[in-house]
Amino acid sequence: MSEGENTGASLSESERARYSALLEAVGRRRDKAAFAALFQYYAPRVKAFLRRMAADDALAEEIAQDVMVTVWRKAEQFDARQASASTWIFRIARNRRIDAARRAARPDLDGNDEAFQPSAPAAPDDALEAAETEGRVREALKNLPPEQIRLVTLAYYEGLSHTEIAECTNLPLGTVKSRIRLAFNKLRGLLSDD
Amino acid sequence: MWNNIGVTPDVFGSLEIGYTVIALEDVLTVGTGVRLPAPLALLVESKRVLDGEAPFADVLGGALLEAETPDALHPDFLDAVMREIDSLEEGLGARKALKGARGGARRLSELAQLPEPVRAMAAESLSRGGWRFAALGISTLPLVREDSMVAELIRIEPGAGVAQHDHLGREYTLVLQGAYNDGLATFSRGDVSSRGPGDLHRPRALEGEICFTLAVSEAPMVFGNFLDVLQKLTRH
Repeated sequence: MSEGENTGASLSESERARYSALLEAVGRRRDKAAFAALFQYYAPRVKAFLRRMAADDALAEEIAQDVMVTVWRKAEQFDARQASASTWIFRIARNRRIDAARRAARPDLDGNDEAFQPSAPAAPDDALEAAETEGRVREALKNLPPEQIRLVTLAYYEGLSHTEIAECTNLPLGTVKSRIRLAFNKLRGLLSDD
Repeated sequence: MWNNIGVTPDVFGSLEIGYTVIALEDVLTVGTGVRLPAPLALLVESKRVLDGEAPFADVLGGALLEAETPDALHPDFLDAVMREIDSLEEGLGARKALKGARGGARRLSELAQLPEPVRAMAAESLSRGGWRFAALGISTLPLVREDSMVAELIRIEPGAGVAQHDHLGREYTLVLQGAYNDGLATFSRGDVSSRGPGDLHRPRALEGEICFTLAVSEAPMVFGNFLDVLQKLTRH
């Protein structure tokens, strides 16, 4: 199912802030040098993400290309105060992957090509710095029991349904659902404390 | 958040899509909306925006993305992307001029306060065809369709309403702006209601503000003349 574990080092807060600034530069000034720098970091990781679902290397690259072009196109909608570049780019990658899967299943699908655009949510009441938030999420993730991390990654990152997860982990469906809910609430709880 | 007055909890607490029942709570809290049909995904996404929820699940995704082992890229990859971007930039100038020429921009400013996913799709839909008249003071704009399910933006003038009607399939309505009363309760921005066959209702927008809703409905497959007759009998 998943080829590699997510064991790479995540960005430091200043690096993450730097990439967010680069993305803003793309949005405001159509800065191609900034885009190239973003590309160097994110494109290989976006492709790795896509290849988890589509074993076909060429297809993963095709969708990755689509994602990076969309990043360029939508960059002016990016607001660094609300989300980091990683969050925003992940969202685009996830949506494009869903679109590609839909098109593959139903080539004559009616309606808009992009199932939905990356949305700009209203700022939460106790807004944490976006870069800081992701660092905390990463930390919180590490502190979960390993089987909860795995379930959360399968459900959200890899996009498997609860039934599929139950099948590949040999757990009862009810157990899968409650553990995932537990893990998410824990992560949310860890974030909203202090 | 979820206004379920008058609807039984187990009917309301789940989404019936064909033969699959998905717990609404799972969809909202865990974000396994990856498996939802596009019209419902749009509704769930829009509700998240209206609730002002931080995109927690996406923050998680972003963190996991950073931790990915980078894949090798084809040496031409960046060039291919830059080429596509360049041709985009050229085409953009022409397209912007065209959009200005179309009169459909008239009602675009009204949509400015709607959640982004809806706003973007509405703009797209408007450029392909306009609002459709549904009743006096009520117009609809189809946004996205998948199989027998469709998401529509509904625009209701203050005080306007539809006559008592039934539904052949299930309909989920998310209020995007303003409010309406359906004889049982008032639903305002961020509220979702669910109505199914046998639930008669008579929604009317409150005075003072245009009411925009996102309506996701699942029409049953057409089995032929009998269904046409049934539709005519139940429509008022």
